[in-house]
Order: sequence, then structure tokens, then C-alpha cells
Amino acid sequence: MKAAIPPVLALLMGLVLGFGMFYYFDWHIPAVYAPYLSVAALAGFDTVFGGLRASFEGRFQTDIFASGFVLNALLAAGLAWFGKSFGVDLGLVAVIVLGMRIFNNLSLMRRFYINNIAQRRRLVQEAAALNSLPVPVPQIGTQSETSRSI
Amino acid sequence: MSIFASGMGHRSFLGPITAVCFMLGLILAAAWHTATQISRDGRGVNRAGFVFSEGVQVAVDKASKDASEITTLTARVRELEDKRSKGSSATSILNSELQQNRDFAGLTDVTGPGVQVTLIDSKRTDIQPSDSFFQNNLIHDGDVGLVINELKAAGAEAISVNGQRIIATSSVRCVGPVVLVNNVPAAPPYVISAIGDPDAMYGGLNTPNGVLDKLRLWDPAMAKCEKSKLLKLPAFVGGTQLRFARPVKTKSETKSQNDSGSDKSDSSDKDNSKSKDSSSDKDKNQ
Repeated sequence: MKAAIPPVLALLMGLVLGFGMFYYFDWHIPAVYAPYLSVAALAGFDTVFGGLRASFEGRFQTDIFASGFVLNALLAAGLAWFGKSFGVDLGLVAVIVLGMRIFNNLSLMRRFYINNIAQRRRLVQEAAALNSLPVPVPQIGTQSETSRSI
Repeated sequence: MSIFASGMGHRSFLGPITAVCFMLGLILAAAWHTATQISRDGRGVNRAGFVFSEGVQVAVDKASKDASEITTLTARVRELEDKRSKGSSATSILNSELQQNRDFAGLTDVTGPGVQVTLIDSKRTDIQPSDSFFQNNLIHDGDVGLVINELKAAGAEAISVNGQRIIATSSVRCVGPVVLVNNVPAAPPYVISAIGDPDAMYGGLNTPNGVLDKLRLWDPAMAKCEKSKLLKLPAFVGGTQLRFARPVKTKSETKSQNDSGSDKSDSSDKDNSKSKDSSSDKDKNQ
């Protein structure tokens, strides 16, 4: 879980820096834009979780990740604005879809992590049962193909 | 042994995710800050996509801006009037009279000694049913009005309530939970400042069984009265145009109008038409 430290640290840093700037320079974003900002932030969350999931599954691509961050945020905010211009709250569509995707990605990562641990434990037990100690602990990466049942 | 080891051997994803997380933090801070600002100002975003009462805030901001502009322009007008009237003695006399009337009408900032009355809702919690029915624990519009009346009776020359100057057409009125002074909402504590003889006004307010005593009967903390050596009251900022009241013309003015115009013939015409109307009415009745 050491790998999770830099992103979380960066998130906190961004939060602190953002709040600091807003209070220090006394910036104000008009209340009309608040919904778009929130939806864009949600899209950013979705992209980060999607990226984490892709890296769990070993198919992370920087260009897809970066473009997804920008385009998803723009699309979500644009959809909210577009819906507002003819009276349908399309911002809710973005909120629901992105929320579902965040839950989905989180559950996939959870499954992947638990499956890997369980498999590793089972392999160690089997090795111990074979009574051929000391057993080199097998690499999980080699078994990941079989455990990718979602 | 990391779970991330399953995919790529090297952690190429860590950099981009960290960078995006940082940007996400900035966006989140902006969204968060805006949302808290909205809930604190009461500008009312209940959920994404619906914004209420933005127009109200815009109007209120504009009103306060306009009020400050009125103040500066009034000061400028006075300055120009003073400058303009310096030529002859007649204009300077007229000007000094004009400025005196302005001071009397409450259209200028004034300073002087006086008293400051602070009325505040009671913090007592032991409210009897009858007290809660009459809401004796709260300051009402009537209480503020009575204090103003008492101050005027004791010789106050200028009065303001929470920064609103009381003039001849001022009103103190209760609408829902707030008291409106000059139709501007005021919230407790109500600070009533009056310029005049401090001792006379202090004595008038603290008359046994007087206006403040009635409040103090319930809770002594509700009414506070202090003499002050120097108070500064703001000018009245608002409309001063009369729409219905017209000054009554003096005799000399009406005479000069009669000489110039043909009032007599007009009035006779009116009489004729009146008699005609009445005759036609009679015909109908018959």
C-alpha cells in the first residue's frame, strides 16, 4: 500500500494549497458556477479511481488517463450547463453515472486485492503441506491472469 | 510486495495519478470553498443546478452602492451651493437658510452630545405561557417607536436607529422576525442614538414606569441607556420627493395668479357645465 501514499499526499497538498489561495487572495467564484465545479470535481474523482483500477489490472496508459481527466470534467460541467439552458437537470446525469462508476471501480479494486491475498495465502499453505520447506513465496504477478475473474 | 506489482514492473502510473490528484485537490478546494461560502451567505444552492435569490443579492448590493453614491453627491451639492452663493448677500442668506433646513430635515450628517439606547432581546429562558404569548422577552417595533417618541419629547434634535436616520416621514414597523426602520431591516441589538440635551433625554427615558422601565420589568438587561459626549449620526439616504403634498399658496401668491390668468371665466364655464349635467339627470329621473 506504499504506492497509495504519494497520490493521497498530493490530494491533501492540493486541498490545502487551494483553500489557502482562496482565503489568502479572497477569491470568490460566483454561486452560479458552483454546480459545474462540483460536477467537474466528481469527474476528476472518477478519473483517479479509473486510473487506479487500470493500474491494478496492469493496463494503465498515461495518455488515456490524462485525456480522461480533462474531457470527463469538461463533459460533466458542459452537460450540467447544457441541461440548465433548457430546464432539465442534466448535472444529475453526470452525478449518477460518475457516482456509479466510482463505486464500480472501488469494488473491482477491492475484489482484485482480496483475491490476490487469498491466493497468496493458499499457495503458501499448499507449499507448507507439501513439506518442502523453505518455500520461496510465489510472485502474485504470475498468477494474476487466473485471478482476474470479476 | 505490492499489489501494484501485478501489472507493469515499474510504477509508471504513479506520476500521472499523483499529478491528477494534486489538480483534483485544487478543484475540490474551489468547489468546497464556494459551497461553504454559499451556505454561509444564505444565497441558497440546495443541490447542483438550482440557484436561488441571486437577483436579490445583486439588488441589495446595488442599493448599498447607490446609497453611498447619494451621500457623496449630496456632499458635493452642498459644496457647490456654498461656492455659488458667495457672490451676493441675498444668495448667501438664502443658502444658509437652505442648509439650516437641510440639517433640520435630517439630510446631513450631524454630530453632538446625546444618549445612546441599546435594546436587546432577553436571554431569559423561564418564559411563562402568558409571556410567551405576548413575547415580552423580545424587542418589538412598538418598543423602538416608544423610545423614539420619548426622545423627541425630551428634546432630541436628531435620532437614528441602527444607522437609519429618523426623519419626518420615517416609520418603524414589524415585519416577521425583523423590525423595519425606513423600510430597511434592522436586527437586534437596536442601537438608538439621539443628539440633544443628554441629561434631559436620560431623565426622560429613565422615568419611573417609563418606556425603559417597562422593558426592565421583564429583564433589566433588555434596555441600556448611556450618555455620550459626542455622537455622529448619518444623513437620511432615500427619496425626499413629495408626490401628494403641495404647499398651500399664500394670499399674495394667489392674487398675482388671478391678475395674470383668466380664472373667472374658467370657473363660470365649470358652473355652466355642472348645471347642464344636473338638468340632464333630472330629465332621466322623470
